[in-house]
Amino acid sequence: MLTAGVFIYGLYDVSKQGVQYAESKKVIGEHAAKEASYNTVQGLLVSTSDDRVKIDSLFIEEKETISFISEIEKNARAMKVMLETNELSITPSVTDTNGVASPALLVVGFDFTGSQADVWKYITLLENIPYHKKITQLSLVKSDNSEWKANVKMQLTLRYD
Amino acid sequence: MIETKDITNMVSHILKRDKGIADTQMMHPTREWFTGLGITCVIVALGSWLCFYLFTFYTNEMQKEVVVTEQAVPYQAANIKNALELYAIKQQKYNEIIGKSDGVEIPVQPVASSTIPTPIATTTEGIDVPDLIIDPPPVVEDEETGPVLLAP
Repeated sequence: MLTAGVFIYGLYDVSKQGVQYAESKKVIGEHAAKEASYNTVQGLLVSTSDDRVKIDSLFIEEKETISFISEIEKNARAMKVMLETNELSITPSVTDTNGVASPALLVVGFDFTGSQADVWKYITLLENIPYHKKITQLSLVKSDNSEWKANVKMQLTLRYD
Repeated sequence: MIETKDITNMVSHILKRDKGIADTQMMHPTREWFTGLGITCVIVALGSWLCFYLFTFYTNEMQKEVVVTEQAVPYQAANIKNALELYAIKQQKYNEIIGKSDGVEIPVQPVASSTIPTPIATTTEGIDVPDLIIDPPPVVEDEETGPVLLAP
């Protein structure tokens, strides 16, 4: 009887340890999966660091606003265009009901005057500003003395902090 | 003729006769020995089978590799490459315009003069402006309205 009891207890203990082994194996698998994902992300972060730096540079920072406007005005002078900034505001980031956040925007508007060629060239310059942006409004009016007056309004996407 | 009643009586007699045989032995060592031996053999056989089963089961279980289900990390490399190329072109054009702003002559169609200035406006709202257009749109003169800027 004692031998049978010891034998049955041994079987029970083996079975219990087997269950623990299976659970441990499952946990090890989950940890290994997380580690593999971590390594993949880590490798991706390293391999894409240059791209991310470039992408970061495509978004203007709030503190760069003044220097950006200054550069725009400097270019206008260089291109013989009379420029006036008529709008400068920041639209804050908004999160909709689905939890999707729209980025904050720097809204700028310019009025500028000059010859047709200069105005057109300056519009081309504004189109090719190397920042992520959207030109929401563009108007051209020809006034007297062969001068053209243009109005451009654009939204530049601000960089997330 | 033998009837059912007679058969019943005969069976009853036989059974009563068996009950009448008294067992004079208090112990049956041979029978109990073989009974114990049989039970022991059954237990050993069952235990052996169970041990073998557990051994093979956990041996196979240990030989199985841990299943690692790695979650794919979404990275749209093609889109990023396209975007970077697009902005590299924009940057290049921007630099060209800045760097050659004094020297580059942009072809301009002659603009007809008019005594009465006629404002012509084009407005786009809420749409993405298409890619770079270098050449300005031609201006033609209409007899009634004066110079007219043609849409590009």
